[in-house]
Amino acid sequence: MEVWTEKYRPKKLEGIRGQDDITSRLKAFMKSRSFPHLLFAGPAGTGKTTAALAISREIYGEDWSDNILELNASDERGINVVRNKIKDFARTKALEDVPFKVIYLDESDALTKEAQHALRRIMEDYTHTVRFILSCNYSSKIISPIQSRCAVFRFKPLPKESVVEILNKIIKNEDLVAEQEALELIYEVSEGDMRKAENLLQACASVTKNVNIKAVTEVVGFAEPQEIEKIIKLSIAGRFTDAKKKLTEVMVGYGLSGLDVVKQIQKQIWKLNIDDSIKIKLIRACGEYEFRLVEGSNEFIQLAAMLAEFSLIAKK
Amino acid sequence: MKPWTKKYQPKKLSDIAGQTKAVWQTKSFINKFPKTKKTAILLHGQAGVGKTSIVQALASESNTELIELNASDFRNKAGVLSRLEPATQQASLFGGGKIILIDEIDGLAGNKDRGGIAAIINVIKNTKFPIICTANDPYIQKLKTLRKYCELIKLNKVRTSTITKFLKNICKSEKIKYEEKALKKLATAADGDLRAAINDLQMIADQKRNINLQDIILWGREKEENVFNILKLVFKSFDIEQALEAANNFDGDLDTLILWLDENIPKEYKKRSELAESYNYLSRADIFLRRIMRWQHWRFLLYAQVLTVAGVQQSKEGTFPRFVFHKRPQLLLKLYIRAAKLRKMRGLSQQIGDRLHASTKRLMNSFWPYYKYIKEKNPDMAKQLAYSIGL
Repeated sequence: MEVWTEKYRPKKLEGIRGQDDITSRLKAFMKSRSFPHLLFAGPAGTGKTTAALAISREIYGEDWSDNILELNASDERGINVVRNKIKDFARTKALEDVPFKVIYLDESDALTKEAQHALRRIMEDYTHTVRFILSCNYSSKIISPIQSRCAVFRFKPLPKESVVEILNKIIKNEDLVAEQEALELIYEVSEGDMRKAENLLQACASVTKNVNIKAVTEVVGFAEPQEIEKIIKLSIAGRFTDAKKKLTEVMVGYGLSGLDVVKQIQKQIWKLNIDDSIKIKLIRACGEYEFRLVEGSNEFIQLAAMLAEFSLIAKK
Repeated sequence: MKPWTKKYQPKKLSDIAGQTKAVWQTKSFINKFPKTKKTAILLHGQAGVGKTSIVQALASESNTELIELNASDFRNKAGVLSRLEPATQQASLFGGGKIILIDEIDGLAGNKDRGGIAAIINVIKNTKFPIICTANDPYIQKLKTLRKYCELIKLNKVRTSTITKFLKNICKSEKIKYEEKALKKLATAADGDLRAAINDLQMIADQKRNINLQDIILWGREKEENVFNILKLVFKSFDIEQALEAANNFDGDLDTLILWLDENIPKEYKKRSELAESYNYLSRADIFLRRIMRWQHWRFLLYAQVLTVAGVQQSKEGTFPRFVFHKRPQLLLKLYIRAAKLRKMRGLSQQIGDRLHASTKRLMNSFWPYYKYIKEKNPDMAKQLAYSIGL
């Protein structure tokens, strides 16, 4: 038994679904066995890492994994660590007919502006021996000197047909049966994030061979805290103590960060059955408290304050 | 990581620490029911002495169904009628007996709940099953009438030597080394509150696997008297000068004081505007504390302190003669547990990140929740998956 996100990760560019423009442009590079620095921008689970891995497979063949260095900007501790790893990696030469090695730097937008400038210098220094593939969620967070040195590719959330097509392939291969509506529900929950969709499907399959709405709903209810909606409703109803208790439960029980909670609350607010003029005030409050959290304030105190403000807003 | 207060919760009556008399009284009440003088008892005593534990242990030992209701669950007469009353009339689902526990009955809030207490009394008069209520202080005005319908059973403070022994046993089973004096000091500081002592022990043990006397100083409860005084000045007066002076003399850190206020504001302030206002001050004080760290500008401390103490104090819209038990912050332990959990998840994420080509952050939101589901529903499959990704 493997994790499906790996088992079904496409090995070749042709296997990537829902990003046809991108794959055909990349394939053109592969023909010449050469390419410039690349910048992959787009939301999570849309094929950025898969494309980077597929490129190095096509260029280096069997020895591909020796010729690509995968780094993750959000996990590495500072640009100096990145620099040292790159130095070590770039010291040895690639295959004879490919004059460069590949460095894939995931979540580059996690780097600060200063770190990005350092990265730009590193890119200059190693430009003859290394090709960089940078990935990020938002290209606007990448400084323009880097952008201008890269060919930029914008990955879009996978469309419904592509998600369902991939899921159907897995279902066939794993001897499962599935209701069409269940797959559509998986798509909706995943919002075009294939990693999420596949993990959700695998979680369903751990319980039943028959993937139906009920099974999907059960997994979603387990994996995605439904309490968020309750927290908002309790605070709006003026039941502050209960709302706060639930909040602590969610944060301790699910190990959610304060930022995760604010983001989810902000999403949920739109779905509530309340006056639009109140919604916008709640959203404004979300923004204020998200800002405070980013600044590093105490999550529990700030979120409690947000809930107290919610209940006041709702009363007016 | 489970709170130790849960992990080491007594499963049998004989495990209850230091409440021999109350245990015996409660047990005989249940055994004799319905041939008892009254149909309900009121277990009372300070926090953390074992009121709820006795009832839970009793139920599990005698294999009796336990219906647990927290008084804050039904806030008025209608709530009592819909949640409590049915439980006292219908036979147990499992055919055997049934015990009904109304926890923290003094938690029924203020005047609005007058109807609530009357409704509970009515239920007590007509119940077919034994009812057990718990409260910190049974002699408050609100419970005056209720007292007539309950047999009162008092739980004493747990003795220091008993607490020490309990802590020792935990240390042994958690394989934590300890200095005898350290546990004794911890027990003394807890002042009869066994739960608090266990919480303190867990917090310290989370930092160190070897507990010495000097570790305890950090967490001692001597300061608490000080805190209670500040809380009183904040919640029960409008005198800024006095409150600020007390806060100035307080030798704990402001972060801790903020947590104390956070725990107790909702008990004191009930109006939406009071809550919003006081939390506004508290959250701004917190921002100033972070800014001190960031800019190393210590004058910000002044603002943080004034906002915390005077801000929260001035947020009330009237005086509060009502007596409130101030609780120590529960958040502290929860924060530790959460931090430990997150640390563990991050460690594991880094371990498997290479194989799954994803960052810790990504794994936290789109892998772990689903893996946890699989682990719960299909442990064998989870094991195979874990193996395949090198966990």
